Amino acid sequence: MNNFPEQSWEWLAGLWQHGQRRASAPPEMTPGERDAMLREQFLARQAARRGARHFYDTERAWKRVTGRRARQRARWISSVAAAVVLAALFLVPRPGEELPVATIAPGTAKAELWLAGGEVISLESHGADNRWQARGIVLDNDTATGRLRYEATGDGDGNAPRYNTLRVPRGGEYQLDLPDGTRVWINSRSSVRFPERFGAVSREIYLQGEAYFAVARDDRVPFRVRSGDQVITVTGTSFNVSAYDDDDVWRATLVEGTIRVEENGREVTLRPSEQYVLERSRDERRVERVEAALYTSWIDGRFYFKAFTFEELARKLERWYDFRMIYADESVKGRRFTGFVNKHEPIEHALSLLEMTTDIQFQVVDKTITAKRAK
Amino acid sequence: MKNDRDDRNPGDGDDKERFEKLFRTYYAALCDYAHAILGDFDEAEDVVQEIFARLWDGKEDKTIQVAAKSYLYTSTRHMALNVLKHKAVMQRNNPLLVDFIEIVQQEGYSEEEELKIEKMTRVMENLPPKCREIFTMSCLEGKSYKEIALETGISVNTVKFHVKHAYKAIHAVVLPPVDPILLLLAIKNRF
Repeated sequence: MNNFPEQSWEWLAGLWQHGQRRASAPPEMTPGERDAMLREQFLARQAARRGARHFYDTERAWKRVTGRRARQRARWISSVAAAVVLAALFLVPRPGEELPVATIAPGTAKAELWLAGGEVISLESHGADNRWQARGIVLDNDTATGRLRYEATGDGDGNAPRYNTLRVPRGGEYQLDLPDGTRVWINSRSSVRFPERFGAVSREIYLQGEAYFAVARDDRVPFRVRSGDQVITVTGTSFNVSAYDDDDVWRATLVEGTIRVEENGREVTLRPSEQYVLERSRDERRVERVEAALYTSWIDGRFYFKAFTFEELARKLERWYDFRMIYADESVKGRRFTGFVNKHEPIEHALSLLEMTTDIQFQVVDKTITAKRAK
Repeated sequence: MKNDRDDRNPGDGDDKERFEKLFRTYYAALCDYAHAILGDFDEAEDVVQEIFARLWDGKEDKTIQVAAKSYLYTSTRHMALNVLKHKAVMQRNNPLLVDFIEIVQQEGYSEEEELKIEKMTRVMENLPPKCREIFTMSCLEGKSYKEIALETGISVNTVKFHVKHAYKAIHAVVLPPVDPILLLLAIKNRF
């Protein structure tokens, strides 16, 4: 009985109730260990509540369900007001659609916008275009292209800036047009936190995951992209940042203009076609000359790769097609490939191409793909 | 939008009957399911009503038959997790939990998980009362060991002992069957 990670348990149990306590440092554990323990708590919390007996007024519920026909339900907008739940479900099939069978399909344009005011807005690739406004904020959502234009008028209330978050799930991507004219392409499993209104001194946004930025030039108001300890400062320029918390290697790739990367007291200025590479586990960083298109092609509907390792490629595919790659043979990971994958074609195309040109074989079961060497 | 929907609902005798039967069969069970995730009966009922209301509104093009149960449970699970995620986001200092919920949200309802939860419920019911009480304060209420010690008047070490004991018991339920080779490695690594 000596391997109970009591500190991790205590700290993680607190997350469910009140979030991270500022006073206590997070325990040391790998993301895998953390998720495993959170899952245990997720199950244990459910188990602990299962015993509760409660009387549900089914008649009243029936009346409420069937009597609500007249109410208007906007397709892409739903507010979570108090405890009333209207949050849109983009993963649950609508009535009449197929039941959720786990198959691997190309991603689509989808995202959720969590406004500082508490509203949650689900942006989907189908449905009509929509506008929404409140508190001087105007949202213009183009569902056909998967792009949201965010406008904010007025100066806010002068208090500390409040932040909105655009979250893109696995198997999704979205574009965001900011009020200053900057356009951001946000990749799968990524989120961008941006202020309700940009300040007069700087434009600060936070990135988790990957995004491509085309920043509107404004020399007086620098634009900053923060990921972890890394800060990228720009005035007007195009670049791609990949900073997934589950990736060891983070990359900032400059297409045009100049950017300054600051991170842990170091500072380096990049020229076009240069890439800042941060290997987090080894605490190493370097600047490399690269073909920028290799790192930005995802915004044009394809994954273009040149001498990439199989594992590197697979991680991109996993996020977009939303599946898990399992390696029956570890040596597959380090194999290098050149080519491209069209993002909107079924993944089988890419797999069969790889099978034909290499000795790797794939087996697809639900949402996992096992890669192994042919015997 | 589609105005004919509204006219059709009451007229569609068979469909309505089937829908009502589905509702009466599953309503309370789904509420229990959502409550276990959310810990709040009102929120749980809101979630389940919303799911049925959506089905009702789009009724004419819906024929959920074969897998109605898994459809309803998966929808409930997903929507309840949305609410949970929303709360975590509103706390503003809880990105780890938000990420975790998103991972869980990608999964549908599974019988296997259900089985684990049922086993855990039984394990918990069989814990000594004091141990169960303290574990609940830790796991459900998220209290620190120190807070629990102050509230119950026992020492922090005794609190830890109880939590550890309960943890071991439920942990055994989650563990996959032991792979002898892994066990061997684990033992080897300890020496």
